[in-house]
Amino acid sequence: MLTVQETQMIVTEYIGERIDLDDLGAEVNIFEAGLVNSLFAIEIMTFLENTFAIKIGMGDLDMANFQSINAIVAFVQAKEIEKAK
Amino acid sequence: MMRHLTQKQRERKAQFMRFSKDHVVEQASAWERAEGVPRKVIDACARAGYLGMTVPAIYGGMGCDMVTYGLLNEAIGGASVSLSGLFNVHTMVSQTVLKWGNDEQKQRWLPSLADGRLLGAFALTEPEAGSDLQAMTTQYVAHGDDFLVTGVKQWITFAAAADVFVVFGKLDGAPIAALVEKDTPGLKVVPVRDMLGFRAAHLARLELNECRVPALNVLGRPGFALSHIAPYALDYGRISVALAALGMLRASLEICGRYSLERETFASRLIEHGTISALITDMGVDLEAARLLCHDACDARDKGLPDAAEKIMIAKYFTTRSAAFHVSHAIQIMGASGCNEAFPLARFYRDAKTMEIIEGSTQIHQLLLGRRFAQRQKTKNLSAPLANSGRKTYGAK
Repeated sequence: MLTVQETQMIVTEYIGERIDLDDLGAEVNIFEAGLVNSLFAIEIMTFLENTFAIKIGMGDLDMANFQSINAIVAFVQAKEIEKAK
Repeated sequence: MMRHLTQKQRERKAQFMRFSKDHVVEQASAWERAEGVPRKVIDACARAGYLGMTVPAIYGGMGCDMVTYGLLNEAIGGASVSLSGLFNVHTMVSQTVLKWGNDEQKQRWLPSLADGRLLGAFALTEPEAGSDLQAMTTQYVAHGDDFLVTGVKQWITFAAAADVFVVFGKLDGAPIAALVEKDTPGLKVVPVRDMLGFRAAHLARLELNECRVPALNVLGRPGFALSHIAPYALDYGRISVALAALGMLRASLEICGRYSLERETFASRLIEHGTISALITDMGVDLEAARLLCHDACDARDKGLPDAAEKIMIAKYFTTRSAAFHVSHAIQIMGASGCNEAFPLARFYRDAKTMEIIEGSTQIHQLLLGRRFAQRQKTKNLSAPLANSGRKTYGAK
């Protein structure tokens, strides 16, 4: 299982390549700020499933899980802990 | 980049081509004139397992990968894109249930969708909400434990033949999707006729007037229908359209290529005229490029790559535009014969335009892809920003 810092680095790099900014705060709500387009929601889901070997299903559909870098990192960590049980 | 099909995929492709030859090629033009694929053909597709191609075996499907699903659409699209439209929308419905349905919903719907006892259609577009889906006005209202849905859905492929629809709308402003059965009181299905192309694809308009939908039929959670449910399904829809256009491009080359070898003008075969050879060269090159893009997109989806959706959009964009461009040239090569319904090219010409519009128009693809391609160049060059560009930040410390 990756550390929080490693997970944050991977997520930050992925999102950073897809937004029109040079720097992004880890708590910024990327959807409310209009920083991502309609493809992003599915892309980030697929990226997280593929990169961290987790499964995202209906029960995970909560914007709070995907709205910012920190939220995504916390979500991935929780899924990895769930997977390890 | 995917280069080769597996042995199993090649065998499947041969099966699909045989099915197309036996059940589709000779009849497709008559279906367009009658404005509907006959039920017996849909049943033949069901018996062949084509309605459950991507549904896992545990739910009665064939459990095929996206590459194989693409091969089916290519084989059938080369003869009738109206029929490939059935695989398109039906698969979008079954995949929506598979991805976002709960266990009870999967058990209830997937076996019947997989074996064709139920036909599904995807009711997303509205008269005033096509590319701009946020503008949709169909409303879900809570009614006890259930919901009442009211609105109009337009241009819904195979809706006139379907038994169940995934109907998108809004619940207190939150996008929501639910399964609505065709015999639901308050639902009226009005066939749409006189389309330019796709004439046999059973298009219909759905008029929903306080249709009662059980809460058990809601897919996923309210709020995610446009951000997650629709885009996930549209990957399948775009693959279907891209591969069907690939089949149409391949069939067009076969027809005009053979013609150019047989037809003589000015004491030479057509192919010996440089202008004709140039048209066929471009057609063949674009066919090869389109095939690689399509198969690579399918492969990316099978591998769960994050950029699969982008690759699928690229494949759909390139292949549908190429099909429209080269079908026109195929007709040009064949002259008056190409304009006659004795050949399928005139039908392809009408269908090709339609394929540039459905599942995201060419312009929507340009809007999304152009910005992404430009953005990617910027992130590659962060160490050397443009002289007149200020750094843009948001919430960063």
